[in-house]
Amino acid sequence: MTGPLILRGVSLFKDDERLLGPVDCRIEAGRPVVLMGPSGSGKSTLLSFLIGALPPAFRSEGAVWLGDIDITRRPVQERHLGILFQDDLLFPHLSVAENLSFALPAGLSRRERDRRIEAGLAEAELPGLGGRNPLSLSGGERARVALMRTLLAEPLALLLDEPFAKLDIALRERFRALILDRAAVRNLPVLLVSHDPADAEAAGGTVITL
Amino acid sequence: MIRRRTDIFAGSLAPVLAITLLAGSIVLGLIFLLAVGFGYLPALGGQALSLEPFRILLADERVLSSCAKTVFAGTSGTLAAVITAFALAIKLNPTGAAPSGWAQRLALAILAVPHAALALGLAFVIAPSGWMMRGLQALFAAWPLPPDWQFFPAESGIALALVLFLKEVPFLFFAILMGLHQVRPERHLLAARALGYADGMAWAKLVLPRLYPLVRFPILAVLAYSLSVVDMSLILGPTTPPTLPVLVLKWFNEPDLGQRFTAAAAALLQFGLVGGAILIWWLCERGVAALLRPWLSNGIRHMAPWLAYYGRGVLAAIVGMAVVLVALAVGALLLWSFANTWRYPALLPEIFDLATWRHSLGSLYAPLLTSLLLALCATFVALLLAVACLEHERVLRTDVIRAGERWLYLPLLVPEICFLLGLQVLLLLIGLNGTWVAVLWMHLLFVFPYVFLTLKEPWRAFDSRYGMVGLSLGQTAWQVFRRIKLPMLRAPLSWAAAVGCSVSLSLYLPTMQGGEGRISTLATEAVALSSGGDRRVMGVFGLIQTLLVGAFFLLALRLARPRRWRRG
Repeated sequence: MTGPLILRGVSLFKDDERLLGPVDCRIEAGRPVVLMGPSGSGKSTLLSFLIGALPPAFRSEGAVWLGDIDITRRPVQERHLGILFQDDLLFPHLSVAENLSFALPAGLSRRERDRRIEAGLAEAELPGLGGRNPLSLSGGERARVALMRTLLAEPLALLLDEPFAKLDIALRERFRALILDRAAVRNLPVLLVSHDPADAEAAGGTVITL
Repeated sequence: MIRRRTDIFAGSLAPVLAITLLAGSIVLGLIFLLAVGFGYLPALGGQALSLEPFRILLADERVLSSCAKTVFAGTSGTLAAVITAFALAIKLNPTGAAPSGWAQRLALAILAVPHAALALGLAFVIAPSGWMMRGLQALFAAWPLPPDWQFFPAESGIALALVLFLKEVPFLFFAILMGLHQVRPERHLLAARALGYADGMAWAKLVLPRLYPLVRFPILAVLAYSLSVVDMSLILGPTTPPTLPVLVLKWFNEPDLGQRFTAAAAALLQFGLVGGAILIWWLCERGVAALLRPWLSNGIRHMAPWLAYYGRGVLAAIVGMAVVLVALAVGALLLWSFANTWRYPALLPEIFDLATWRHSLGSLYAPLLTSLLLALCATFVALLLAVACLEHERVLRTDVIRAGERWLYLPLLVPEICFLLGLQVLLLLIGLNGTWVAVLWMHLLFVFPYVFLTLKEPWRAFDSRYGMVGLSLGQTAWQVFRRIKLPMLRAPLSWAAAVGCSVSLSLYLPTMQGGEGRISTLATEAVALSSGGDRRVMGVFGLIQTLLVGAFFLLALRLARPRRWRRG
């Protein structure tokens, strides 16, 4: 069951100085929210806070809700928030398939794992590349593997930290469309952080400027 | 406060434990040394503090000349090694970019030859009846009997300075490369070249001033080590009188236990000697920096032509000589171990056989096993502790831990003979003297700093977002650590393990002091054999020690190899 991702009065401080906020927003599935701001405005730090990995140098106020559950105090691995960074961060010591398998829940049968991995590769338009070294793929292919890895963990919401910034323009548009499409199919709330107005336009949802 | 369950080592006591273990041991050792040096050790009848030990020490006419030899051998070896290592870095790898050139491989090979083994081999090469002399005899036939002079006289400390130089150049070379890696001088060098600076000059004016502070610690550690080395000094050093640390050991091992007070006083003198040397080095550094300050921006773009011209030749000659000497030393060990008779002036053994190996196997087995076990145990504990420290640091990146870090390197700066003597008194008091645990403890004091030094940069450079991705995919912190972080850091981990094992395998004094001579390893046997004079057995022990260290490094290289991928 998926509910909206809700930010209630979220502020971030560094050395007792307000870095950002307070931010209030309600992110519904199918209506992505775009957070715009120049670099250094604390966008990425906000995402770290949302997934529960705020660096110790920062302090936070406010709460994060997923549906009707307060997840502010939950550890990262119990929040079920998927995140995509600027870099694909595929684990270089694991093959493409193993990277995807890492995201699948434990306790699945081997056949079921293989089936889901194959389905994931097909969904990312990368059939048959499971045995490859992630470093041997192109930038666009790696980005799609990273997206599928995030989705295979069955997240309840999707956070995007400028995941298109390192792709060239044509690839960027395709990849953005793929992410938004896959998120819509799964009924996921999407929060996108960016400084590119084209992202905001393409997402077609609410825009919050920091 | 949100409990950070995401970090598995949070709240662990590892850094506290490490600092207590290392700095605590050294401080304790020094306190006991101070007490004994000033005449207080009730077990031996020293009931009150007194200056008597120092009076006896200063009345001994050997002390002054011993200090002079120690300072000469230690500082000349260090100075030569520092200059050569910097010159090599400018010439071979000015940007620190190429990680695996032939020079690095050669330096690593020399670094891997254990101290005692190198000294044993070199002793034969430079002895009056040794290989160099035999070579001259073969060419000129002027010395049918070994002469009464030596190429690198042992008595003046020149031989000791030479072997220190050979051992420290590769160490400093690697330290410089690691420093360069942090400085990242490529673009600065390019900018200077665009302004018309010659390569060497650009390096000296732009890179060196930023690089030096990063390698100051390794240089000072080399200086401290060179001034207080015991094993190589026993094999290749002067004898009448020996260097100060050897003199300390002599007093300490006298049957008359009362001499231990003198030994402690002499160790305190050794402490002062090293402290003074470090202070003087630091002052010289300041002076040179102040003098060269205007030179940095005086606009001169080219080195004096004679320096550029001769510098290259001199460097090539020195490095060539060093490589040949090390190769000859290891070759001598190999040949001697298979030699039956090899008399002066024959260039090669007259008869080869396996007799020495067969005889030695019985006496080799136990020390070999002990060495291996000690190396593996000490390295394992050190790795565990180092990883725990680094993980903890990631969680609480506070100044306290950063400041604490420098205490971890204390064993590399304080002369080992000083705190080891004190610690032996402590071991005696708590009844651990001569036990395995004691030796392991002493080994850890030296293995841990090197393991930590090898591990810390790669560990700190690890992109923490990999961990975040793993956690956000629903894995536990432990799984993320085991399945992502450890495999991704496999190369530095196996490298650190090899470094730890090689350090442990080469430790002489810590093994002797911790085990009271009752626990013998390859290193202690090698030094013990050097006074016996049978070069064939020395060859066997030196060679085995070298091969063992080599095997650890080869294993590490193999483990560190990246995964092989199917093409497809």
